[in-house]
Amino acid sequence: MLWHDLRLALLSIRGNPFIAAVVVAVIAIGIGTSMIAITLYYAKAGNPIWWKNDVLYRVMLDSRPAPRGPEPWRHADYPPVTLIYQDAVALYRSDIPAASVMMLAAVGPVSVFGPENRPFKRTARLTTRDFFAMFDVPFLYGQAWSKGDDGDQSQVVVISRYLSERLFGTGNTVGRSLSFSGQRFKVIGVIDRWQPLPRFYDVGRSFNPSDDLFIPFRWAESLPDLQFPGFCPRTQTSVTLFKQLAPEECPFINFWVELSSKQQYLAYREFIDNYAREQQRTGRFERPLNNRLPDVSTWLEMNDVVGSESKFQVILALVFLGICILNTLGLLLAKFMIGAPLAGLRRSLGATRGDVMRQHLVEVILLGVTGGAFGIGLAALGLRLVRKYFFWQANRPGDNPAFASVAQSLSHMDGRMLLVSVGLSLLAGLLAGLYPAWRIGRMAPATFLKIQ
Amino acid sequence: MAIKALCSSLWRSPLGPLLLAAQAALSMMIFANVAYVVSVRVENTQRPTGMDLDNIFWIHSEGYGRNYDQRSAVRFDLEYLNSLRGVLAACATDSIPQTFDAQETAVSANPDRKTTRSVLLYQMTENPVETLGLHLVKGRGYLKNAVAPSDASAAVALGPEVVITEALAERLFGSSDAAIGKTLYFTFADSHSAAIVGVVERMQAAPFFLPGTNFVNEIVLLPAVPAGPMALYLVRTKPGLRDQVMTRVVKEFESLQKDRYVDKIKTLADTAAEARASDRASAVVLAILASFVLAVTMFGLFGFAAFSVTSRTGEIGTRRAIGATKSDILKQFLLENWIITTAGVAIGIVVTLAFALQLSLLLELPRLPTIFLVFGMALVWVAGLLAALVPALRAASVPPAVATRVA
Repeated sequence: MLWHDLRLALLSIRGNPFIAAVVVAVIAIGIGTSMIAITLYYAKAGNPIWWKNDVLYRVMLDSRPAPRGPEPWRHADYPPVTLIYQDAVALYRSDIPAASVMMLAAVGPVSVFGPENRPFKRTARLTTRDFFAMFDVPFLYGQAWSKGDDGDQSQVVVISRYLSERLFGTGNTVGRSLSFSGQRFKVIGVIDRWQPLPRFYDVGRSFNPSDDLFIPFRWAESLPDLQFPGFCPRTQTSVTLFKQLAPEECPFINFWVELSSKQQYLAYREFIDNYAREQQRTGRFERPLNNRLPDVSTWLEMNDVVGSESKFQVILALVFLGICILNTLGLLLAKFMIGAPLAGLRRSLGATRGDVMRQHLVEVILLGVTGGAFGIGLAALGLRLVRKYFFWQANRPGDNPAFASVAQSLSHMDGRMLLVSVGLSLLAGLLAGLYPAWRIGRMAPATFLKIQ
Repeated sequence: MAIKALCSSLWRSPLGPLLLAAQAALSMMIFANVAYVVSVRVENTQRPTGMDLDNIFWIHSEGYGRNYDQRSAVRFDLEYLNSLRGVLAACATDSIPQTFDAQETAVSANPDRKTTRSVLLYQMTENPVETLGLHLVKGRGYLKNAVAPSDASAAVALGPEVVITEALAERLFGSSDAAIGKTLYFTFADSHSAAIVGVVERMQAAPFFLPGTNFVNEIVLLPAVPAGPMALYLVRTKPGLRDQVMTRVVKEFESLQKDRYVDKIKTLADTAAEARASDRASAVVLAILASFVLAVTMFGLFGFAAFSVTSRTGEIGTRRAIGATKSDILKQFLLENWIITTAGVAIGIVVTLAFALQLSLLLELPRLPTIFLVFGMALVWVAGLLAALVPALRAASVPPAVATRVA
């Protein structure tokens, strides 16, 4: 039966190859364009850790002083994105969450020991040990530091594969030593390529190069040269040294918790609200209760990580796909009308309405899938061009290699995207073909036979 | 009436024409809005920066270790840079213009600081006006000794004089003339204030500061030696000597001092181009998308006209046989097409405006100017007419004899 339908469909396509080609081309362009827009959108805005979206939460406490005038911020109702040191330390002590992580990022000079080695600048993340388990960081060699290392100032470091290869060459480099910001560290782990995009666990722009060193959080206070972006709302000053930031009311610490159940979430909410009420009583927090506990996707949204420009492009591409579907609908209607006498003949020889409709539907799906396949090819080509022209910086030597890998993942279509595009092309084919197939099936055979 | 008759004939099988009208309406919506967004993007990339982009390069050096002293390092580096042949001026700065790193702050014309204005603040050592090649319209640049002398207790010592842009002067004081000699009150660093000694015609931030913000060209230059350990330098050379000087600096700069490494040496022109890359790319992508839409829509109109000509060959022959001229037939098909596109344009006006409203919210743009609506309408009309021309001409050339052949 299906074979018969397929043969009929192929015959019909061969009977009028021009219209068939146009239908395929229009669907291909529509699908290709939408795929490019959606891939770019997801690369920029997708939740890079969607599988843990319901367990990871950012912690935000409204520690701002009472408003002293109009507030220039984009979202005046949001509490600060980071925590004051004193609050972070207090919250970190809670054992309600399955895991909590404090972190900071700083840039500093890295080198291996040796007379000829000039240091170069890399970003280090000062964090607590659960960071790796919480964010599913893949290890190539070695492992994370122990709970004990969090407390003592152990001179241990986990480095990126890039840094490992740059400093020591390929191979297992666990056990080697490096210098960061004038302090000696022993490598205890090397992580494999890990480029969550956007870098959801920090604030700010998504195109920053990724972290190359991970060292225990306690080092923040004992590496005096490191600078952290901090802004003190009370004095309206920018402060960058840990020594000055930590004792003041300046939020600068990124804080995440893992809450594995609804009960845990509610208990933790209760806990931070109580903590904030406590601070209100002592006069530290001057504003009404406004704590937030956003999951990863809410957090990304709060950060406006999704560029409105790429939203606009996705909307345009989908409208364009809509135009293509309307167009295909019209074309198929015309095509089926041209072939109507043949359908009439089949009907009068005993084919049922359902048979005729199915025959046309098979043709529609065939055209839709072919169009989709070409569309995927088109999208792959288009993304390659996007990579070449949007991220031309990535192709230049001397610039950050991490940037190149960002571009790489931007212009790469993964399995999920392929699935979406196949689904989209089937949907487009069906949307455009359902009505014409139904219409041709409904027509009385006599109408066609009369023309003969 | 010909139009009435055509309308009722189109209405007999309305689906095809309605699909086309819907397509035309959606296309118009896309053209009008995309043209507008592209024009905004292009304007962004072409806005003059007020700086001598082509003859400036910048250096990012980073000190490390306990022996590094920012003030002496900066003094030493500036002396070296100023001594090079071909260098017009050099200064140290807290951030490079045309990058995203500029510091945003609020300033006020009154000591009570009740009404403030968001500005971009650049902390630069002596001679920023000369180094950036800015055009001074009033007053003078700040004096060398305005850069606060070394003070070990404060991380950054701020100077008593500032240079501001004309846009900010007009906003705060009404005019550049009025601004000179006035005091500018800062809201950071525990109420710093400084006298305005000069006004520059223009200094434009990178275009990503544009959407929804007001501090694009309202800029304050404040004398200060930026806090370490990062040291950024801007160097302006005599016209044409930039690359030559840069090559030399690349070779010599890092080894000038111990306890620091050079992170980057780059031309300001490249930096400005990178800042505009996303606007430029967005304009290109949108233009490509719009041309796809145009092609597909024209194709649909062409296909419909061709189909209706083919299926009505007999009818055309009959009309020709009973006296219709070639131009009657041509008119009939063009008119039919025109009715469809006009219906599309009518729907199009509504959807275009509705989409424009959403768009202005999403992209934080001002309302769609009428000219773009008119442009969208015109484009759809012309494209529709062009698409129908070939099939209509073919219809006109159907000989009357066909009427006798069919049926």
